[in-house]
Amino acid sequence: MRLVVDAEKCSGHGRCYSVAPHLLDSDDEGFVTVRGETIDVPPSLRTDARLAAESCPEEAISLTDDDGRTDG
Amino acid sequence: MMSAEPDVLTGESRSGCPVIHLDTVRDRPVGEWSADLDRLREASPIYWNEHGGYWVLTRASMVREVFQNATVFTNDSITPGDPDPAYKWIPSNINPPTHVQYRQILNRAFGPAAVRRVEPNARKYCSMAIDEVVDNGRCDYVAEIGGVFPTRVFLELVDLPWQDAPLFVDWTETIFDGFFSSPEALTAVGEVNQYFVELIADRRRTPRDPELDFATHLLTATVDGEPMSDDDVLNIFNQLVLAGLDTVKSALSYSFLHLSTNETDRRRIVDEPAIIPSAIEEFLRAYPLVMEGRKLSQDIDFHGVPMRAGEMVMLALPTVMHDPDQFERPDVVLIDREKNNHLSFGGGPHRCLGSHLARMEMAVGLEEWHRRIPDYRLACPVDEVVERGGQLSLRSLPLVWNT
Repeated sequence: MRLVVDAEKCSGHGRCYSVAPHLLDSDDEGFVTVRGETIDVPPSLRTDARLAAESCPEEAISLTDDDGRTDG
Repeated sequence: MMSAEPDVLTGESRSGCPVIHLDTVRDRPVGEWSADLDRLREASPIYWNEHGGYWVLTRASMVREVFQNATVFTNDSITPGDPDPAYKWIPSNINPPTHVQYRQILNRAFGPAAVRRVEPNARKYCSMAIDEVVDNGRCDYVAEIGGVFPTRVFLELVDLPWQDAPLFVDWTETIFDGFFSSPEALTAVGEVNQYFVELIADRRRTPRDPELDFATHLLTATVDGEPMSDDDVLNIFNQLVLAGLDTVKSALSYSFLHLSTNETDRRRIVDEPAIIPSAIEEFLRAYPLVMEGRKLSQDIDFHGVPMRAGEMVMLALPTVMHDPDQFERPDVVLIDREKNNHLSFGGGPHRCLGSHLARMEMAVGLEEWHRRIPDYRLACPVDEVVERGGQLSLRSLPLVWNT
């Protein structure tokens, strides 16, 4: 699974790294450090990734499964 | 159920949208604003409010779209009834791309790391406020706790003496009670301003380490390559006070209103403090406070409704956050709600600067209180709790407990 944070939409609410602290972290300004990036989600953290996506007020986080389908 | 006020719907329509006459600034029993707005949301996503003359949006997806489209929905004004404000607040009334420069300067002081640094003292200030009431067996939560310790924490965060907190508590109460326009409110606005005029003059004379002193940090920061003027720094300080103090007090007060009238949730908070972060998000979702607006920079067709440049849209968060298209069982407070992507701190580039601070203060406020005073209840019937309109707030919240 891959996780993408849309840099245009992310406005630093901080919900993603709060609900998924083992997967995501904050920079000094309060934005997720991987804003605008795509990261691989380890299988053990898929639930965290889904929770992060569902918690984003801006709907800035999208997930794709390993076949490239949008997931969540 | 409280009934809708008969005068809200006028029976008229504008561009296919129902016209309402909604004056949002009166005192009412708690929950009536939200109940009225919830009823409106079910009937139409967009209204025209003839009282004040602005569009009202009631659905979460539309409000997110507005927050994220700062080019069309600008911050030239954020007061729905006042499209041409006499004074521009920094950074609230500044649009991208300049806005991001101000936010970078401020984010550093209000980001999660800075907030974590003041948390131990926040706990101390909260504990001090509880010390004052714990043996009395009763308090007005709003005046004695919710309004007191967050003010001390705010002053700490911006490197000002916490002992000045009583001044700020009185000033913000007077300003919001007078809706920024009564003679008393204007006097208080002048006094807040004078406090910061003197602070800025002092730091100009004797600058401190900008890493350790927020005022010096602002006075040495640059926007478009130029240092900010004293007036701009003064503007920012005034805005921080006016935006930051009333809201945290209110968010905590609504949380305690819920817990003092809901035995099951109160017990769970006491027995299982790890639920508190999730409970805070749910209190924020269930009880949004702010009904701010955006000003259209151009004519657009917004979901079939022709809107014109210069018009205002009001984002009715107190009902938007109860939208069933966004939340399951939106009318129920679920302190362990999983999918909770509320917009109670707004969204887009102007997302509440103080959101990280507010969350920490709410967590400290809930943890410290329930550790010291786990069994308490509301001291009056719930329909006697009065809610101030405008930026929603509880007038008072009498709590009692056994000592």
